[in-house]
Amino acid sequence: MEEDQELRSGEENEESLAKNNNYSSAEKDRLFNNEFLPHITSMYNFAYRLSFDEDDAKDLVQETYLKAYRFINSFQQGTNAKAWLFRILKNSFINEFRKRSKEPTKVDYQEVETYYNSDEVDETITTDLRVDSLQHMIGDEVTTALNSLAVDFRTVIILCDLEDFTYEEMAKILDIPIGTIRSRLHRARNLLKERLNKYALSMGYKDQNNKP
Amino acid sequence: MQNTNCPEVEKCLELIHLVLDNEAPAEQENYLTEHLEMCMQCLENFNIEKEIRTALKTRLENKKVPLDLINTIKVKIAEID
Ligand SMILES: [Zn+2]
Repeated sequence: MEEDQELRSGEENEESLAKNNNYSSAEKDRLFNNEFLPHITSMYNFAYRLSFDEDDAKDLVQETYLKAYRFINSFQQGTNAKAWLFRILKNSFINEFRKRSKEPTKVDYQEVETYYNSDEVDETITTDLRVDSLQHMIGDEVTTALNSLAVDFRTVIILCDLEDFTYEEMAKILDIPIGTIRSRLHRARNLLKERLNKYALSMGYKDQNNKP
Repeated sequence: MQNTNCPEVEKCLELIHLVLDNEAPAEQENYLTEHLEMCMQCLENFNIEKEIRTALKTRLENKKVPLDLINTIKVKIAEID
């Protein structure tokens, strides 16, 4: 079955297939209520930050939980349920929602991928961004800066800085090597810093700080 | 603050990210700690990167999960069983 494949691919394939479980109804309910549902706020916010749309976010989360339940036997107890759920959500987003998402700056996935994988040395971004300008910023500015990043850059920042996933967990969620996680994060952070710097300049934080 | 020019500023920035993400081995973390004692440019970078993380963590608005969502999910799951 196609979806079944989707949930398993990228994991330690043979191993996880071999260890397919057969949970009882009571175990399923317990896993679902105690291990899956507690992550719903993180999941909903992740979905919203990917889709920028409340209805889409709701659909994504709902679909993710239904899939998680249907394929609960491929979830290994004791492994990271949150990472497993995030991976399903991210795959649903790519497969179904991305095409029609209302994202303003839509970037072709392949194009972004080529961009990272190029051997081009990351240009040094020098900004005048200062700690005190950052401290003056309000949530709206930080949100706009993050949202202005292409979805792949935004995603790694969300997973790492907001959700505290390790690089290894991120590699599993996104199905990319750890080295790519590192370089993508590095680039994403440089871009984010650049955007924040622009805000800082346009808000005149810098001038303010230069006053005697 | 003296505006020193670090010859390894890009490399240091990569290390700063690893350290702040708790992904650097202890040895590299110690190296950075020592380096930051001497290098104002990298210290400034370190503080900025740390502040950006704080801003992301504390200043982004978190949406509340719609009230009916959990119920809808539970109802649909009951239908699967
Ligand atoms: Zn330095």
